[in-house]
Amino acid sequence: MKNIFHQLLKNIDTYSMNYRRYLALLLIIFLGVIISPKSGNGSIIFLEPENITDIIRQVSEIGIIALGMTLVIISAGIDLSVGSILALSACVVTLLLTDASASSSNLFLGISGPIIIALIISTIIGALNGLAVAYMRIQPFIVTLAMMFGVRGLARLVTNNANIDIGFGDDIASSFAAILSEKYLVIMMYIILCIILSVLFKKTIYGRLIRAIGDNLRAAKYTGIAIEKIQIGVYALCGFLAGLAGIIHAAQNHQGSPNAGNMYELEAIAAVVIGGTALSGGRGSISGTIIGTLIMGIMTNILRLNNVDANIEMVLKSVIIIIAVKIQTGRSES
Amino acid sequence: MGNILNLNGIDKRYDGIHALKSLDLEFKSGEIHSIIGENGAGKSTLAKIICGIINPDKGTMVYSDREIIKNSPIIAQRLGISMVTQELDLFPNLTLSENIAINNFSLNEKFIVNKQLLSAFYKNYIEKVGLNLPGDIKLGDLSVGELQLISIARALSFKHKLIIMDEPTSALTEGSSEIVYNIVRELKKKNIAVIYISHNINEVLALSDQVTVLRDGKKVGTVPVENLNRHKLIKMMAGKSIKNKNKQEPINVSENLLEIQKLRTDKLGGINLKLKKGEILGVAGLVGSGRAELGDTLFGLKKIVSGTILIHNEPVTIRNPRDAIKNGIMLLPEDRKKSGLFFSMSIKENTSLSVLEKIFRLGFIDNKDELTQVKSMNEKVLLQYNSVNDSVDLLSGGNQQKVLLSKCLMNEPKILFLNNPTRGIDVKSKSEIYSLIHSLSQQGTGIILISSELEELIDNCHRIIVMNKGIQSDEYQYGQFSNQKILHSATIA
Repeated sequence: MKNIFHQLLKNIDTYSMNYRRYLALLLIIFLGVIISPKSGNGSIIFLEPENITDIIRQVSEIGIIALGMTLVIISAGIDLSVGSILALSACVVTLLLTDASASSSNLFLGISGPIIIALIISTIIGALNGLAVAYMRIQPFIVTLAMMFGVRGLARLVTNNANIDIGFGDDIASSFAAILSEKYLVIMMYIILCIILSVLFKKTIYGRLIRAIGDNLRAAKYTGIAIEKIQIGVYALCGFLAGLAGIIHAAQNHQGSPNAGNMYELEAIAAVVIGGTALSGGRGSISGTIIGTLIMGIMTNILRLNNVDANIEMVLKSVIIIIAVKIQTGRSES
Repeated sequence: MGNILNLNGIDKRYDGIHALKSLDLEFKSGEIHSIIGENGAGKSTLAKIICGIINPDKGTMVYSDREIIKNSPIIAQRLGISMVTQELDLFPNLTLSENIAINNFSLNEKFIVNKQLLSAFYKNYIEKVGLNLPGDIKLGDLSVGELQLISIARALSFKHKLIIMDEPTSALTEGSSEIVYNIVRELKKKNIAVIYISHNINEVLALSDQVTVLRDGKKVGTVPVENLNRHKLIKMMAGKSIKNKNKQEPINVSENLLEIQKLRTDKLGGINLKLKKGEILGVAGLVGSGRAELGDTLFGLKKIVSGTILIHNEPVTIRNPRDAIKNGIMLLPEDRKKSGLFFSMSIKENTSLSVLEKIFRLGFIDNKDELTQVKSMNEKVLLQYNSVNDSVDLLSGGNQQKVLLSKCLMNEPKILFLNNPTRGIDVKSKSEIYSLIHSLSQQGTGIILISSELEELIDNCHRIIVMNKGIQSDEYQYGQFSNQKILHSATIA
């Protein structure tokens, strides 16, 4: 009898925790509806399909980075180099696309070649982060902080510190930008990546082992888990996703800028944390991060719809991050 | 003599678990009052309430005739209550002398730590617990047993009237335990009240003046030790009497399973060892004797300097735990919290973790398949649980240990190292784990049982080796076991 009662209490508890994850999101949507300006015919601009899809497109870059960041953080790490990797990837892809001498006559090869090269470079940088964490036993914060400076410098070096612009003609670079800034394509890519990462994390051995090393590294050693392999893997994946975000960034902005992606690492970490993932490692979820990303995106959208000054926007953001994290994580740990 | 502390109607619930049920207790100065009970009986909760770490839901505490209204660790300390905890809450990144002196701010009146005062201060206490360690050593490098003695030394440094000791000898060998007993007796002479929490029936009977038995959060009774014996006490604890059986029969198998030749590491000085199929080999030795290193080295966690390891007479290379597991070796670590369990994972996930790659070759986890495999293994080890999806955090110490055993057995090991498998767990789980060890041995698994409890080794092993300063100092065949002899081999200089 006592057991049944205990079980019941626990079920209610888990139920409310699951529900909590959506509470902050629902609250911010509700807020958006209330304070949204109305269009000429009286409809709520915030809820118009055009606005909703805009939000998703706007969050997709940070969103993709945050997916990789989630796995890194759950493995008890952190990756501060993602913003710089995004910039380098954007610069590499635009440099290669706009380099007329190397441009292929085949549209498909001409676009996919530079993309693949940029992705490979990004993945290698991520793997280097992982190698330093796994084998040199340096703290992830320090490894990726160093990489953040180094890769940013590299991006400035390859571009001579200038923005590489993509035009609006019918050359290969312009076609690249036209295709990859297509709103629904970007949204689809983001959604597919969300699904892949979620399956990877929840359904595969790899996801389980990431949680294990983040939860208790010593016990993971005693379990015979190949810790180094997993660490290199999560950082490489995170680098790959940051590189992909960089390619989308280049297409959407019609340029590769060595100064792009500044502070993106912090926005991605904020999205992960709002999503209820513990910075101490071991606990968290991809679905939480998606919610966290949407909360951040909607927040920005609401403020911009209401013409709030960008500086005030930043101040409000800080307050909202704290409130959202509190709602998401619920009871304080005791 | 009046009571130093009266507890009246103390009641505590955690997340639906009724941990303490309206408890009344009295403690006197100059008296050693033991609290004994199985895991989950409420002993540790009681200790935490007295020293202010948690507050009771109901009930009052009267200390030296004054009621403590709002207790906290700082208030308790000011009142003269200190505690040696089971969790060893020391500061791993501070030095030994800093750890001992951490709460004695009187040392540094000028806000600047005086190195000379500090070292004189720490030496005084560290010698009392029989350790001889430099003051600037970092705690992270020390063994569990040494840490336990250090936390006792720290508690001694407080000016106290009442001291609570929560399983102070659970990680210690009998030799080091004797040091603790002497400290406790000395405290009694100084008219300090000692609350001694333990599982160990022998030590409770030898040490206490009063014994309180707790079961399921309720007081079964407080009895002066003169009116108690082992049998009575077990009966009070368990509610029914448990017979000490499980005596081994000698085995007559000659097949060599494992052979170690001249194994050297930085802590081991040339170990030669043979293990037969189905044999239970006991490893005795004091803390720091190299007994833990032996297990860690064979499991690939420590670097081998020289030596050969043969399994089924074939030499094998073990560089990491994966190599060890591939060769059929599994290790149950000594410290289940630090090196064993994953607390944000469920019982199921903890159990299957080391075999996932074996069961699911494609990399995708089939939840149903995982569930069946884990459940059948958990039944074998007699794990008591509500749901396999519960966190291991909710389990008692005994059941947590069974989860780890279950995880080891999932790999179907040929050689199983058990490092203090029954440390800090209740009597019933202990005897269940022993039966399990016996049935594994009958099925041909070679078992190396490292233990701090001589009784455990004598009751369960076919052969016992004794470690001393990194080498095996003696070996005892079946029928030659004697605790005096073993203790002697373990302690000779």
